[in-house]
Amino acid sequence: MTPKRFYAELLDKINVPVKEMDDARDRRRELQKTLEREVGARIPGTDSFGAGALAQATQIRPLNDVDVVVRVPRPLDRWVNDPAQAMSDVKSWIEDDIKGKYTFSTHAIKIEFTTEEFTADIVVGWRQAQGILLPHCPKDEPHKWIASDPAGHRNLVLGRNKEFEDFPGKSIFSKQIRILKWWNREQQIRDDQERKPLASFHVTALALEILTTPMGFDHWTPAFFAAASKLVLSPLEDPTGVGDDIEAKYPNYASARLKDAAEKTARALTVSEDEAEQLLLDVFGDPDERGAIIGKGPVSVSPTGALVGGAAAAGGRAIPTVRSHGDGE
Amino acid sequence: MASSGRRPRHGAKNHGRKRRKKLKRRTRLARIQAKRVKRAVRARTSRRAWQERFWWEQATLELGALMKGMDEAYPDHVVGRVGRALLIRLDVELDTLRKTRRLVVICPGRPSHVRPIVMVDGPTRSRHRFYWARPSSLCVYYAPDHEGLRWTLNDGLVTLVDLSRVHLIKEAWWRVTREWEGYEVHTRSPAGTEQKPRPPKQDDRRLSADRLRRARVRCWCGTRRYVKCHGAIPPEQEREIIGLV
Repeated sequence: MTPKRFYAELLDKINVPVKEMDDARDRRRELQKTLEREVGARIPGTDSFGAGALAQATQIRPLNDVDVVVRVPRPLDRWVNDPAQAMSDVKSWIEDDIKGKYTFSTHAIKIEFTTEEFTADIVVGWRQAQGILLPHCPKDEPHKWIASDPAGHRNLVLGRNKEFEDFPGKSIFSKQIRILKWWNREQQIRDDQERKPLASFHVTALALEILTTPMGFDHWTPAFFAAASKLVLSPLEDPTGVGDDIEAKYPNYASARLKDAAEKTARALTVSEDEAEQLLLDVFGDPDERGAIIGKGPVSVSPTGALVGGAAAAGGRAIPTVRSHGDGE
Repeated sequence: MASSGRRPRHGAKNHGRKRRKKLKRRTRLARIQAKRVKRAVRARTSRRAWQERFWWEQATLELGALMKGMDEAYPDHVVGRVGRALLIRLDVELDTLRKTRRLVVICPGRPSHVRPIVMVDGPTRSRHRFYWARPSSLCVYYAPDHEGLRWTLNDGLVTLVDLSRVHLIKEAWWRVTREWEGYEVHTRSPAGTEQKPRPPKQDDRRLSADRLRRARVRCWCGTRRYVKCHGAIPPEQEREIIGLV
């Protein structure tokens, strides 16, 4: 398989199904309407927008959450010194209309729906000249407002897609970010301590910095890895210039993984198709192979002792289907 | 006077006859009692000897059923004993994750009666684990399910290890994506032990009883209560004894 074909098939496997995306967007629109109505009744001039991976078209499977920012022109007085109060108040205003289990994370109100697989993260934003201030409320630290520009980030990604629209393929920039996010997750799951090399937003910021000329994924990917392995060793400026600089939590670890991926993906362009496929599988893994093991289908052990999805082959053994017990933390 | 040696016939009482009968009866009784005592002592000694034997010495067929196929499927496994529990330690490969984990299966009693405890090294945050002991254990199957949907002794240790491998891959995927793709049951995490997966309902009046119940949980080694046994030693030492370090 050629690298070009590999990346195309990888995208097919990691993309969220269209129906699921549409359902999530519909739900997000409903949330936005309710937020604008309820918060807007108390603070006139309130608006909202979608943010995060779904809004930027960089979402990969599984779709875990939808992000919404509700933006107020000015906060209530009690919110200024207590950002957590903003989240608490908004929650109390919407919980009768939006049914679900409410919790608070560091920056957002998290809603778990009974009827959906995904959750909703609602960020209360205080409009600024550029960007917003949003609550930063970690458990063991003082609470404060921090500057960010989610709308700006979204517009940058969508803008880059538009810039490259003459190049063959639709939304190629978003698709490239999906490939990179998949790689990032694969490294996390393979690491003994399950460390993620880069935060998802860091991947996006690096892509905005590095991928400025359109190319096919087979050339873009090694170019990204090579440049990112150096850039990740020092803080990266926020693409919109609003938020704090972005730093990797484990810069040396991230750099080493990026460098390894750069070598392999670059070599895949020069070797035979079979070798290229093996190299790329080594870098990105096979979503279908893992999905067959962890899904609801039959799993068996091959004669060599490897786990495989499907019925047992001759000399192998079937693994009985069981139900795990419990429903999360 | 007759001198034939025979007893006189004239009606005098023959004390000697009754005395002899009594003596005979007493001797017989003493002999029977001695026999009973001897038998009881022998039974007690052999019952104690039987009870003192480990479960795999009492139920050799169960051990055979448990270990069937292990030498072919997982030849590097090591069998040991801690307390009254049989421990089987081995390294398993987690396919598609490119890593191995040290897995220990602990059988504190006959596996047909007592659910084996499966402990692993590595990250412990999971959607499906028991946390009654400090090294948490995997909740690989739902015990009340029909035997077609859970592990039984007939499946053998090989199948239990295979199920654990799949479980660990699912756990890793869940930690990274928050998605559990396989079949699962119930709306609460298992909060009891393997033998009693669910604690009693939360009730203010029962809190103290619940605390007592937890304090009485038997140790994984099958000897005393966990809080007084391996639960009383430093966690690292416990992990070392189990073989997770």
